[in-house]
Amino acid sequence: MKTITIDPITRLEGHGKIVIFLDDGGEVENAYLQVPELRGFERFCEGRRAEDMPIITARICGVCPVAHHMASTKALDAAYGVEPTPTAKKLRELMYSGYTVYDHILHFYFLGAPDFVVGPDAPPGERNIFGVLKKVGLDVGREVIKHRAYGQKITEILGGKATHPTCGLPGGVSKGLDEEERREIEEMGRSSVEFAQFTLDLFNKVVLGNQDYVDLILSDPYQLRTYNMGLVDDDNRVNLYDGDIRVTDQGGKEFARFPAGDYLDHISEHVEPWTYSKFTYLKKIGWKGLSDGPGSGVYRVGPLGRLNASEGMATPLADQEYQRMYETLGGKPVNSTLAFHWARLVELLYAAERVVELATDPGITDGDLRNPVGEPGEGVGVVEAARGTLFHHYKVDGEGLLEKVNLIVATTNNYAPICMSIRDAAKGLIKGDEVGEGLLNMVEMGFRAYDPCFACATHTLPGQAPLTVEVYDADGNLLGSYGRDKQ
Amino acid sequence: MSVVIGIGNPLRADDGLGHHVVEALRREMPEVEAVDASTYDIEIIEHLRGRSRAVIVDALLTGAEPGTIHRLRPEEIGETGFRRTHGPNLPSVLRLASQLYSDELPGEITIIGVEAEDVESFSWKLTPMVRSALPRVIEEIRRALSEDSPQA
Repeated sequence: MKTITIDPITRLEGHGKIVIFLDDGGEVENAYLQVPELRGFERFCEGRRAEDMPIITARICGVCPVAHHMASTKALDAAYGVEPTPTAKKLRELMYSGYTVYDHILHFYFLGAPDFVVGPDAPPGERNIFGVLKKVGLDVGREVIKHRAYGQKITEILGGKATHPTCGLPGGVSKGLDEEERREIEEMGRSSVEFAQFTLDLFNKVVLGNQDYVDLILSDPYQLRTYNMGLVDDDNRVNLYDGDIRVTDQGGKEFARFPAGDYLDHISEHVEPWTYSKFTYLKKIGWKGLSDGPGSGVYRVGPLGRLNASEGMATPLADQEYQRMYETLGGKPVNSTLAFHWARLVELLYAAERVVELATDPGITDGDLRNPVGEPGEGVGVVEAARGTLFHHYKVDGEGLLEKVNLIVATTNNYAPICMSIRDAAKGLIKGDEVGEGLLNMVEMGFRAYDPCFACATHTLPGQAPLTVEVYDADGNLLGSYGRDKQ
Repeated sequence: MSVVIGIGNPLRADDGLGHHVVEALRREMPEVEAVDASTYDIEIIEHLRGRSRAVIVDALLTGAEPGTIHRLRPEEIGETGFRRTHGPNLPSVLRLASQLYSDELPGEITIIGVEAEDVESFSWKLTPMVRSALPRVIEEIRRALSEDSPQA
């Protein structure tokens, strides 16, 4: 058996190693993603003050600080037995929607678009934001930066700081909104709606207008028939901040629906020795290995998981795009991994519309910011991070210190599907020793669509990054290595 | 007008070097604009626009002794192998900045990289050798901000 390793993966948040096992016939047998994990972080938190967690967890990684801050704050709501005030809920969701806007924009233009707009067979030096801007023009680049800055400005106004908010408290938030701030946010929201529509238009023209890409999206190596999970409101529409967790099956029917506090009745974790990250799966179905279909407990989260687990989007323009996506791709659920990119843009539009909706809510400048807390205990907070469902579970002792912390981050929920997508893309695209640059990138496209996030990486000077692709046989002998120079 | 931008995650031990430098600057050189950019990426561009001079401070791993100070120009950090968690890496951000806002950027951008020992552990503190380098880092920044001509 031979092994091909891609290390590190380009254009991702974090670093991880892909190991692809070939059998003796040169065909792909299996593929795995090896990633660092969060057990060290969970231990680091034990004994600390629970009320510090929204600040601490915001720093787990640089990309989803608002998501962690919010999941943490909600876990504290639950642990202290307090419901946030109506105004606090709106303010939290408003900040949360702003975060989703800037996160999805980053992913599409910097991490996803290079594959589609520039092309998967283009040389690696072109498959980046610069290649994208060459195709769409520098003005688009300025618009990307501007709207990303808007998203961060919303976080700053509501959260106190641009990237790492400090406003979350059990029972509410520490900061309200005045009329001037409200108007500023409304304007940024309206501009973001237009930019989201522009981006969907671009996707339409460049991706959907190109039959090769459409074929790629619908091609076999990129299909996975897993269950799907996401937060929904009372009408089963996607809500990123709050609601019940809903799981749908391969036929698009509801399989389970439960509040955050019941997650352990529905989700279990499986550990493999060769990777630090745990695989989550549906408890009631069971762990059947890296396989899909109704008999396997593997499920997907994130934009495609959320849209598949719901019945629509709660804002009008995004809902239209939701319907259009399902009509175009043949109904629900959509199993094409590459459709994550499309679903992400539908969510971008939703989040932008939601910013406007909440910013124009008559009660958004009210002053009821916080409810008094009860006694500390145990609680679970769940939000939909850009990448998928995020769980924070805290056990708080009588002095307000953390006894135990369990975090299930979005990418852990998607870990099994990610490995499977890599394997399937490799199976379809790597044959024998044929591992050209474009082929390797196609494998990576399989998991980049998930927008996966791993623990923080290090910074190294040029030439010193561990860029190795290793080939091993069944006995563990190194047969050869492939290098990957730049992203 | 000058700006000093510190980048890195303060929760990851020496990766928080930029953050600690900014804290020190606010005490020692309060007249200088010091930005704790943490894990920003393209937003750094907004802190560069309209400034005449900029210093960017970050932890680095090159295999040198922890606490070693590397002073670099943007063209020296290049694009290969510069891994970053949070989006485009620093060289890409600077390249993007010069493509989009070429006439608004500082005439001089200096990068000060401090060799780290540990950027993986969860800790709010710098490791001892890196912490002891802080005064030298401040001196290096002072020098970079007061020079008349580009560093040879």
